Amino acid sequence: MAIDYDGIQIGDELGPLDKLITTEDVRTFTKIQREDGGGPAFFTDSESAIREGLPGRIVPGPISMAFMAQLAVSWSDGGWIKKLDVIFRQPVPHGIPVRVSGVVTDKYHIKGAGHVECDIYVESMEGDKLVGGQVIVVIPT
Amino acid sequence: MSATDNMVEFDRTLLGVKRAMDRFPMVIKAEEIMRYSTVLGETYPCYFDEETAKLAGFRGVLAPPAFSTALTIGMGKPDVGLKGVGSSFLATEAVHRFGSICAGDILDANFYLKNVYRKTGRSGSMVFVVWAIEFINQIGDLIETTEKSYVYKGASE
Repeated sequence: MAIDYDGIQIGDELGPLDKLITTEDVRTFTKIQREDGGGPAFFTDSESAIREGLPGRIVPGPISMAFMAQLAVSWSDGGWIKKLDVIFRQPVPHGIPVRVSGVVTDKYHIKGAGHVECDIYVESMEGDKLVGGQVIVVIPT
Repeated sequence: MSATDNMVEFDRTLLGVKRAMDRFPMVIKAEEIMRYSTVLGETYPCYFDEETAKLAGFRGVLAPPAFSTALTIGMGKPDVGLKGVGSSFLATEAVHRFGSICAGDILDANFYLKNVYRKTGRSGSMVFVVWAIEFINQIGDLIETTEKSYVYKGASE
């Protein structure tokens, strides 16, 4: 059963959700639905990453996006993600714990469906915002 | 033909011209949705169990909301003709969803160059190249649109 739309307040917090992605996780992720082995080498190969001017292997953006969507779906208990809009501010390294959290910024109805807007961030445990974005969740009312 | 737009020289003929994305049409596999969900630590039963997903009204095992973003990692893109640039990195990505992706779906994907612009910030001049992608399922429904902007540092002015 989804969260009660009427009970949602602007300023309500989502999460946090703590995550850690290993190099092996990235290797698996970049092979989803593909036989050819995945995306750019800098996701899984340190030397390639350094050649590209990165500090090391980085977590692909779609993994951070997936975590942000996961937080919104779990918080809303099955709400439907209508929009996910993300800015990649800093590289997310492998093997480092990150925290995904958010806050409700608006709520309204469109054609009878409850819509909730949230700001969501992926942060380092030191509080650096690595990825930020906005999600719109449709809540059954 | 190339042109300068917002002080960026690029191949303007690419603007708005839709082309098929490599590796599509693509059959979405239940085991791949489960692999994706497992790596991310998902627990929602509809991502793992066909019967549960169908009881919830889906066509098959349900793909989590950002699943499509994994399908375009390292997408092949035509050269837009920027001069003096090196590698690009994903700067922003926006997904607008109109329907759900389920196992057994056959997704098609088209993409086109939407915009090229320059922005000068604290770390210098950067050029952003924005690609728009449309995902269409086997019954012709537009399921998602995505915009990916890639940033290039050091593009010649």
